[in-house]
Amino acid sequence: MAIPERAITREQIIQRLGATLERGEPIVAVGAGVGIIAKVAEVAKADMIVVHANSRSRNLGVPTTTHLGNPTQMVLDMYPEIDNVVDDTPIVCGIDATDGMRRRLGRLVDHYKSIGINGVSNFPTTVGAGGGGWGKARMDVGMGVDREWELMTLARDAGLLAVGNAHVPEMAKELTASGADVIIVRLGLTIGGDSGPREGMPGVLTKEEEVELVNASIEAVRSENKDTFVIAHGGHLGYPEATEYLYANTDVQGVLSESAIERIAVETYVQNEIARFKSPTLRGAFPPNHA
Amino acid sequence: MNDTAIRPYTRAQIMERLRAQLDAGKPIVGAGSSSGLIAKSAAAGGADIIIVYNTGRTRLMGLATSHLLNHANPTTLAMYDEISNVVLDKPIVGGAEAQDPTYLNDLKRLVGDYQERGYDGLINFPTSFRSDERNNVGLGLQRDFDMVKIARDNDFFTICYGYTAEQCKGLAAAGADVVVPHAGWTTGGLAGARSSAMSLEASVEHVRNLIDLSRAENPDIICLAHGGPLASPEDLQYLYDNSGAQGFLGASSAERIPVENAVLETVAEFKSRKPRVAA
Repeated sequence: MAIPERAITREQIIQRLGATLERGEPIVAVGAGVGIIAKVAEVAKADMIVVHANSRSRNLGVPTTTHLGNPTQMVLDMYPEIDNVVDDTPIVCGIDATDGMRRRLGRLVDHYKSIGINGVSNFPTTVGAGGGGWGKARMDVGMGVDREWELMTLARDAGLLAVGNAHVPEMAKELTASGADVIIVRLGLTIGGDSGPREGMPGVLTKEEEVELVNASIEAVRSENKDTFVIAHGGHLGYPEATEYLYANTDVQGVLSESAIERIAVETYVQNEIARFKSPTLRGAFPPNHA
Repeated sequence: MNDTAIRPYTRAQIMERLRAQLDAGKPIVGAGSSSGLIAKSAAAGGADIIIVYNTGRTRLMGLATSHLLNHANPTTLAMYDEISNVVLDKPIVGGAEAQDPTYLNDLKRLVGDYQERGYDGLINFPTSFRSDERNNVGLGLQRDFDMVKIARDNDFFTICYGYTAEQCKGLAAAGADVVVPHAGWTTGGLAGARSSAMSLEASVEHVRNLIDLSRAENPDIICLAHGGPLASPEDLQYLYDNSGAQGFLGASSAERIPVENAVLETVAEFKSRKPRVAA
């Protein structure tokens, strides 16, 4: 049986996301840095697979880290193994829009399209790094956050899904104005698991603060475009039950699960399975033939 | 010895740790781990040995376990840092391919490379145990025995897969510390063996025979099992009740099936919550 190409257009993705919401389901995007996560996410009917540079760190078993290499190159290195096993789920890949080695963003977007990538995302983002001022400061040297706005427009013009990661409402607004089809409101590192932050640590948002940020971001998005999808990532959303509070108190339409799946769920399931393998008892003392 | 001692471990320390588990009536569990995330989670779950295989990368790629996608020894040697970075208090064993022709005249260098890299022991994997064609050019089963003998002479811990009577006997005689009768490709999950696998009863019978042959060579050898329908804790209890097996090496059972279930069930959980804006 021939394996089909994964030719899914921006319009088709948007239509599918709308259909998901019409069925009463949240949009669930799954971050994957290895094939097995992406392949099973497709079986589980995830709405999209997202390849961001920080996936690599999650699979290393270390705290989530973006810069273990050139982030765009890391995505291009991880993508073939994910592309290989995903047949009918859109794959969105991150681009560091301020990558100094790739100044011609349009050419990069075209390259992503040419290798079968279905959407692009401004990840990592300069506004995520260093508390927000960095992306603006870098505009002076032509490597600032405005390149992330440009990336949205280029993606859209190329017929790729434009996915904007926003740490603050102003960013959500700009990304939307530049053509983002989906905004991901980023709530910070995902709380929990073996290498995530804990509740109450400095800078970790409370659930109430997350609701405020999501509501303000949605308002900013809606002021530009009523049709842009808004989903959320991180913070308390490492566990499915935690989405209930956010869904009850905001108009957010779904989640991007990165650490929630590729870190916390894998840790939990592997740990529990090994513990279960330790649970049977041996019938005799060691060595059995001496007993 | 302090059980919380930190790596690296000598062969004697590993044997002491394993025997302590057996004395407590607990099975020994080795966990195939091809990424830091899997390895540290397996260690946290209580695995006694972390095992690094070149084939593990293919499992994480979402493929059926495949042998031919990389050059085994360089791959396994290169995987060490990622695993040792997050596993502090469990022995880490690397899969060494004795039939690698790039070590044609120098198996001592092969064993030495694993020792120098930092591994606490080796396992004869992959192994080209049943090919006459490889035997005919000096790259057959005897290489497994020679590698284990060298490791033993170096006081380097060895675990050995044994697929056949000849292989189990030879490995035990060569000085293997642990033998693992292999019952075939693991069943279950999205990429497991199906009708090609042995039944549970047949695989336990197969394992029991290989254990008896191994113990006839060395009464003190630790005997585990791997593969085929032996993929769940329930299957393992049946194995322990019906053989002298003392534990289990999980590879697909540790790093494929639980990962598949983690994604399947967690995505389903996320999907089951309804946003207020959804229709």
